[in-house]
Amino acid sequence: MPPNRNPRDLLTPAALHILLSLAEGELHGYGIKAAVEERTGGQLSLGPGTLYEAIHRMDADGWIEEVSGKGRRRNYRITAAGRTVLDDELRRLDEIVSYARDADLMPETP
Amino acid sequence: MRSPPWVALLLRLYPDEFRAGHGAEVEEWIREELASAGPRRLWVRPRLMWDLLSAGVSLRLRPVRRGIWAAMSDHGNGRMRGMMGDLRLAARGLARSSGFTAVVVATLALGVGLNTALFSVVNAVLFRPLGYEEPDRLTYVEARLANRDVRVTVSGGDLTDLRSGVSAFETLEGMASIRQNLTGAGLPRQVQVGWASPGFLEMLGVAPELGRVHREGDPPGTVVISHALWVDAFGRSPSVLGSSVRLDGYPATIVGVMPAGFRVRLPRGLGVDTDLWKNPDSFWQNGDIWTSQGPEFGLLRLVGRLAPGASLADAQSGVDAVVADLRARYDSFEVDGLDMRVQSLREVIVGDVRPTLLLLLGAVGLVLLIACANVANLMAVRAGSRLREMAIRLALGSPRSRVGRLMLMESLVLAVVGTGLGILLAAWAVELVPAFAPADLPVIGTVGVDRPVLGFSAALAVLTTLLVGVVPAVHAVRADPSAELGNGRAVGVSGSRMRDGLVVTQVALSLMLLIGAGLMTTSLARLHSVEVGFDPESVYAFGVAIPGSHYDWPEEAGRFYREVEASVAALPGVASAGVIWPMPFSSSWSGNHAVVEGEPVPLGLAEYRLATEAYFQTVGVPLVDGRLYRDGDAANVVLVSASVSERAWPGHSAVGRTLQANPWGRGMEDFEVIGVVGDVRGGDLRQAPDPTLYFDARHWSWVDWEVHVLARTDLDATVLLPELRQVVADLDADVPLAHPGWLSDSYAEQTASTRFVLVLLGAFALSAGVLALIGLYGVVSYAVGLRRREFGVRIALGSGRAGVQRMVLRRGLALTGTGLVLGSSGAVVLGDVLDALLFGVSTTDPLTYATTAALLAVAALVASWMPAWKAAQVDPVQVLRAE
Repeated sequence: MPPNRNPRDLLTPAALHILLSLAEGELHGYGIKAAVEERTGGQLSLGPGTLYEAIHRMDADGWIEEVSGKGRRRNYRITAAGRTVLDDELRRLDEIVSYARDADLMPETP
Repeated sequence: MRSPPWVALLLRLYPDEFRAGHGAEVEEWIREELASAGPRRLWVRPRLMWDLLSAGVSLRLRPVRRGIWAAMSDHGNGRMRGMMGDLRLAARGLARSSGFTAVVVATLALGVGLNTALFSVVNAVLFRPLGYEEPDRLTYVEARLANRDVRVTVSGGDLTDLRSGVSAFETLEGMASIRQNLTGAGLPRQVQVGWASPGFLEMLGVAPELGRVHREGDPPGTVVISHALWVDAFGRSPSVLGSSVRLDGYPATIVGVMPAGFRVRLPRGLGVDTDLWKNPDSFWQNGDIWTSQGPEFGLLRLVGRLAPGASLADAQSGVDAVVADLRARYDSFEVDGLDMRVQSLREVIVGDVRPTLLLLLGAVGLVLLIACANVANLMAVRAGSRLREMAIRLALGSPRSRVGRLMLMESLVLAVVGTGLGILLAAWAVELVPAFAPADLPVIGTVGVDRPVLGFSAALAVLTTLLVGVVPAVHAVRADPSAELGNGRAVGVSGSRMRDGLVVTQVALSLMLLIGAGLMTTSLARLHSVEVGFDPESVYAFGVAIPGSHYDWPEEAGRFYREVEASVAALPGVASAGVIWPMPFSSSWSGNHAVVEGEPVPLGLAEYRLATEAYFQTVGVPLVDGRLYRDGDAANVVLVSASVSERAWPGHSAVGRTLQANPWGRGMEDFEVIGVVGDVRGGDLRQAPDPTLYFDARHWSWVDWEVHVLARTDLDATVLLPELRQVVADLDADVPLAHPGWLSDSYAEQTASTRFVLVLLGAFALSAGVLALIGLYGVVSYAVGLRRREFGVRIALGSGRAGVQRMVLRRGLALTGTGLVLGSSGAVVLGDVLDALLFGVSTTDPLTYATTAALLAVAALVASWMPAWKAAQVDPVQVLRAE
């Protein structure tokens, strides 16, 4: 089990998307928001409170860490522990999707 | 640009290290989002607020969640100690009884939210400084004709006399408000011109944003413009200084721009919409208003700055001496009783609305009290049902202080969350204020949740915590473990008297509010049923003002207006069109005279209007006697309203009689009455219709002032307006069409302030009533719960279920009855406060008292019937088996 991860505490959509964004490279807060909006086609728009709350939490849990950023904004990158959490979550999601595909439950892509 | 205050407030929710780490970025983010949101702000803002609030709460609750997980996975962390422990315990306890928590938080949020929203209005109107230099020394000199009960404006000559005669004024300045057509800056537009004496703006002590204000010796046509006009007409161009425009064709030069938010504030909302201030020049139709003196030349409203150390009384005694001198010089001043009152400027601006706002603040305060009583009641009930838990804690060695603290902590959590939500509710609600507040509400700056308002809400939160929390805390501390744990008897009976008291208070307070709302509703209904004397439906109105520089007065002006009238009437879809000055329900600019032949006493109170014959048919004012104007009439014919005829020639026909009037200050002239038309109510629907003289617009037409063209039509405004603009432009491309709109809308504005009070009072009364009923229901059901065993026994012993039901109902109704009696007495005492706002209904109107009391009684009956029914359903076997 990854550090500080509670068995009942599934990743929130915000946390998952932040980890995904940081897995692709270092970003600052607003950059994460923009990346998430781009990836989801605007379906998910994170507010400042939600985003920084998640960053604060994941930083405290050691999933992400601050890197000395350029300018006033703080940049973050994913840690090894965060990578493990993300891998676990992606694997879990993949299992669900594979199962659904095998059981012929997947909807046609429109 | 600063972040809105709520951002800092909500950020307090977060831990210090969060604020230090991310606070600045969050603030910047919110600033950018709001700045780019434009009109969507109304929705973006609450979303951002909710985001900050929920994320903050989630972060704060994290340790609690962890604690719960830890407890669930059997890794208990021993006894929690200290305040944080209590807080967590309280939060956990509240989370367990989520229904209770939701009701309490919603009740408090409603109470605090309504109070905060209303207080932010009251703050903006009553408490904010006026925004002038040393505003306490500014005074308004109001001139009245006491014997005719009208306010009048003052001539330039009188101003000169006052200046030299009253030493208590450091400066005394005058401003006239006129409308003129501005050309040379984009499309022609009508602007509100403050025709001010040279020192007027300087006296107010506000530095211009650009350039300078007027000074003595400026050439004629020197103009200072408002920030709004600078933005609208000049696109914020910095090179506006020195540029030339034309006002009604006369050249004018802009020398300054006043800052945004600068307003000249005169009583009754006057002066606020001034677009530009023009220094006096000598041109005027009747000569020089700055030097002419006497009753006919009044145009100015006077504002003075007291000399350092001088009092209002000093100024008043000086003014009285000058007025006595004026009355000795001018007969009509003596007959009409000229009088001037020196008042504090702030007082005349907000004096009219202060009682209303304080009344509303009082009403909304009552709602909060009821909410607190309700919550206190719920808490007491909850504390009662938790006496066993508390007793166990005490028995296990928890000190009494800690048990009391735990209860207080629950109240604190509830009050803080309730207040927080209340403030968010208020921040959203005040955005709606401009939409339905009366237009003449003298708001200084903008209505918003700012620092003083937040302070007020914080004070409310402390107050509610105390009101709500002390009772259950005391209750818990008093618990006696041996008694509570000794047997399974009903608990918490001791608190019943207090709970009853709270319910009685709630019922009484909400009855007072309901009666107030009922009286206001009756007033509004009476106001609506007043015969206004014309039919404002389906009449479209607009204004045109033609410049005296291009049109001879009155013949050319009269012709112009008749041409507009004819072209409008000829439009397809327009049934008829007419011309009137001023609008039917606005007062004319000053009191005027009418002397009836052979009568030594002036008729008094006559309004002067000018009209075309088509006007009467267009707005539906009936011809009662005689005939309307027609071509070939002499200039000196007049139509009079029915009340003139009744006063001057009671019992006789007025047609063919002669009266003397002085329409435009050329001295008294004879007029022949050719007809009598129906009475029309003036600006204040509460007052009797003003006796009115209608002069023929053919011969008596204004230049420079806005004259109104009315069209009766079924067309849509979007279709009609372009055609009307075309009509006016075809006649004179430099004359703008101004103030287009439906007559019925302007008419509705007349009742806007009554409706504003009514809507708010009604909303408060409704909230109060609902809260009181919830309280009543809660108390009666709780009492039923406690006495289940007793009811079971009674039913088992053969007392009918109906008997039990009656017993419970009786209790509920006894509480309601006591509350109703107390509430009616309270309403009678408070009636005086309402008196000034009522119309056509007495403050102790028996019908209103009876209906509201009956309504509340019926609702209370339902609220106690439900628990009573439950009591009657008690199954004796089940209850007794449970023992």
